[in-house]
Amino acid sequence: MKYAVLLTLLLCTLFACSSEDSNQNQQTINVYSSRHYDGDRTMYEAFENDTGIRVQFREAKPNQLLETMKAEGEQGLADVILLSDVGTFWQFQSADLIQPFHSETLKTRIPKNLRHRNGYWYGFAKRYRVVAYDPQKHSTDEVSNYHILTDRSLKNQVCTRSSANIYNLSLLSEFIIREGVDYAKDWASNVVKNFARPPQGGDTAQLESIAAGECSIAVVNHYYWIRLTQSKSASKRKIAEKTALAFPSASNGGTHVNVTGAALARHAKNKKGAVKFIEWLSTVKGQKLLVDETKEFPVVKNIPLPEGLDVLPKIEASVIPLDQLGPHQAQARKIYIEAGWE
Amino acid sequence: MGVILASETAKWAITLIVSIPITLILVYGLFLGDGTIWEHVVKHSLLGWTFNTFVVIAICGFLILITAVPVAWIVSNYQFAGRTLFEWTLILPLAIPGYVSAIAYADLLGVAGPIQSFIQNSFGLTAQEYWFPDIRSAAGCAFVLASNLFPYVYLTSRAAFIHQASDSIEASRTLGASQRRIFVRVALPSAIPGIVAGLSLALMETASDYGAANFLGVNTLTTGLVRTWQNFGDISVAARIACLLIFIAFFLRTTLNFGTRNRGREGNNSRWRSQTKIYTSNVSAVVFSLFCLTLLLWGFVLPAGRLLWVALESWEYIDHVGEAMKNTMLLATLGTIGTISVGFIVVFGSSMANRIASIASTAGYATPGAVLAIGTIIVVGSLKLPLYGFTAVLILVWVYVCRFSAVGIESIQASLKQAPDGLIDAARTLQVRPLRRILNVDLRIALPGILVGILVVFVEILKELPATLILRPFNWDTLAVKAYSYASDDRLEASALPCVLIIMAGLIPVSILCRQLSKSRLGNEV
Repeated sequence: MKYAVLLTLLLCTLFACSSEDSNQNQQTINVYSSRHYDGDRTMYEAFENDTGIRVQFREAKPNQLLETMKAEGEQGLADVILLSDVGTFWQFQSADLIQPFHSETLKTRIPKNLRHRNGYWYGFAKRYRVVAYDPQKHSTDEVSNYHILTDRSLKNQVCTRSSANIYNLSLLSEFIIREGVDYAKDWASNVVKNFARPPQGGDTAQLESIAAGECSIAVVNHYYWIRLTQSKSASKRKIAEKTALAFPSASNGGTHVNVTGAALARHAKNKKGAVKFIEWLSTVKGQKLLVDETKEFPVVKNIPLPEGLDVLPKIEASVIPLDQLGPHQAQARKIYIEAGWE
Repeated sequence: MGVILASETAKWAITLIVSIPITLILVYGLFLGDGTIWEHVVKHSLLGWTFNTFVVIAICGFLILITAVPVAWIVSNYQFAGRTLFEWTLILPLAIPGYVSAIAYADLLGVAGPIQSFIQNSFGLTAQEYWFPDIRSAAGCAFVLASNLFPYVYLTSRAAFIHQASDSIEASRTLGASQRRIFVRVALPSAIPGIVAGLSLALMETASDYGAANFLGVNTLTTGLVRTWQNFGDISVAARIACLLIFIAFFLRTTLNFGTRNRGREGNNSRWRSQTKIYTSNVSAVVFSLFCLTLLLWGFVLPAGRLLWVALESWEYIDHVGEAMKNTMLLATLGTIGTISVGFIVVFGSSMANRIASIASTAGYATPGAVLAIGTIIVVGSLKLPLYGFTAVLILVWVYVCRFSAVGIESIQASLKQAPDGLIDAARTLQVRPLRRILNVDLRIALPGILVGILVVFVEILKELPATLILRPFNWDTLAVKAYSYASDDRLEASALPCVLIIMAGLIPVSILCRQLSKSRLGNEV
């Protein structure tokens, strides 16, 4: 009896703690996000203030979100899914976890190549995968293309992260589309021959390796370098000073662009609210709050750039529609493995 | 009668709670884990993962043995500068979780970290022109994990050195044996059960570590398991790998039992007698002090200091930490209540149900949190429960109970053992009813130990990473989640403060342990 009373008390406490959560109605949307930024809280609050729709969010690595959503099935709570890299959206689409929707607002505001043709996802913030190099050893012109990484003169000079990383998978997917499978295979295996060390760490780790002289060239997303330039720590800023970024020009196929985007969950309970949130991300306020901390580029025209991005040159981005990359992901993975790029 | 029935039902309920996720994993792993993905894993990865796991375990074990045992011997036998300070500060590394150390050491020893930068700047070298050990390797991972885990062996071997009959050591001394000879021929052999006990515990932790290995990019069975689940979405293959890990844990656990099997309860008075500390030559004393200092730097001062430094450098992140802290405390409190309640029900009884619960809890302790989370997701999915708010908290508490009830059970059991058999026999002779005996005799004696156990469970939950990452409710971040997510996104600055707060929380039970430690032998100050 005593146990029963205690248990009831405990359960009541828990219900009290979470009563707000279980209060699912049209005034709440649930966001599953693979982003992890303090600033996102401010973004959700701004949306709440603008629309009166409450935002609840769950943040985790994309594959954890994917597995959680699979396990939840139709009981799933997600209304909106926020992810980085279209390769990740491809995985969610393949697992039938997102659904298409159409929005005239988004069609007019977001460039065509940065959203899915059938409306499965929409891109809201651009990131560029660029060549990072040691300016004391190379000149910008010399390294402003991805092909340079295969050059024999760069033996023991290339640092990379794991090929399982989605950024690398999407980059190779683009090469497969642009130059064909054979080129992609050659590229991967020749880059492997130039490895200074086995693939390790994240993009910042590659920049650190260049700064320390472990290698002189790598491929990284632009915002990792920007964040180093803005760091409070002197040693981190020094890493940015010792490295530079080169943006492959249009004549070389352009710089690989990818996006942070949003999609409507397959089993969204509050579809209307979800679409409202996704459309809100294309407003001036939404765009600004989305990119301020991440140092990505807004996709909508005439939005002020986040602090620190003005140091970059004009970028000639690749124009390949991003929804074409996903289908080549499995092949890209295979090519990397066969090339010995772990 | 009603009470007995009720408690019998309660026991079985507890047993079910503790064993369902692990049983599901075993069933999935043993019977459903076959297929092309499993073949793929066996063909391409399993051997490498197993090899790495054993390399990490072996190096970690070696590092722990060559540091913890000698230092325990030195501290309990010699008088040198700082001895009393080192005696308790050497367990401070226990306050730092493996993944936090990994974050700190990846920065400290990384190619652009302060140490390598110093080498590069002072000798004008580039990173290609000199050799430096790679922290992002199996050996590096072992180095990091050993730095946190050596206090386990330090504690058990120190206890063994102190508790072992001082008579025999004094006899050897009288017979003219040198200190070295006494250590090798007398003290060490009789301390082996204690050393093995601590080592098994440390190595169990090593085998199930996810955070440090994953952060350092070392593919062990545990990280491989999580990766298999995440990349292929196949829960049964992940479960099969989990079975391997559970097997390793039981192997280590058996060694532990074997090591401690023959140790009875302390019956004689020798432990209360102060052992005479030996004053050594100045040179040895300096060497001893330096040795202790090195271990303290390695396990605590360097990683914690580095993170504190970075946290102070980027203080603005404090704005967002308060809420994570609140969530962490709430989850840890609920989890501790659950875990310790289960512990009590399991300990006070000897029925079949309890034995099963005890085995399941050991398996749970050895299983990475991510796997248990998957086990509970299977249940939640098949019951069609929504995974949010109340349910999510409850499920998370459930995972904590499965994962940490072993810690609760062990600490309660160990504390109860402090009650001399004589007292209990006396109570029995006086025909005191079992429940009253438990309340009036056992618990009173065991209370301090149990309180420490509660604290340890609390901190373990507070540090828990993978399950919390997967199952936490909406709008919830905990300190561990923040620390790890930021660090794995290359944002050490944002990660440092949560890391420091986790360490500070960990220091609370550890410092209580320290106090107990310094009081553990009467006459210490003599």
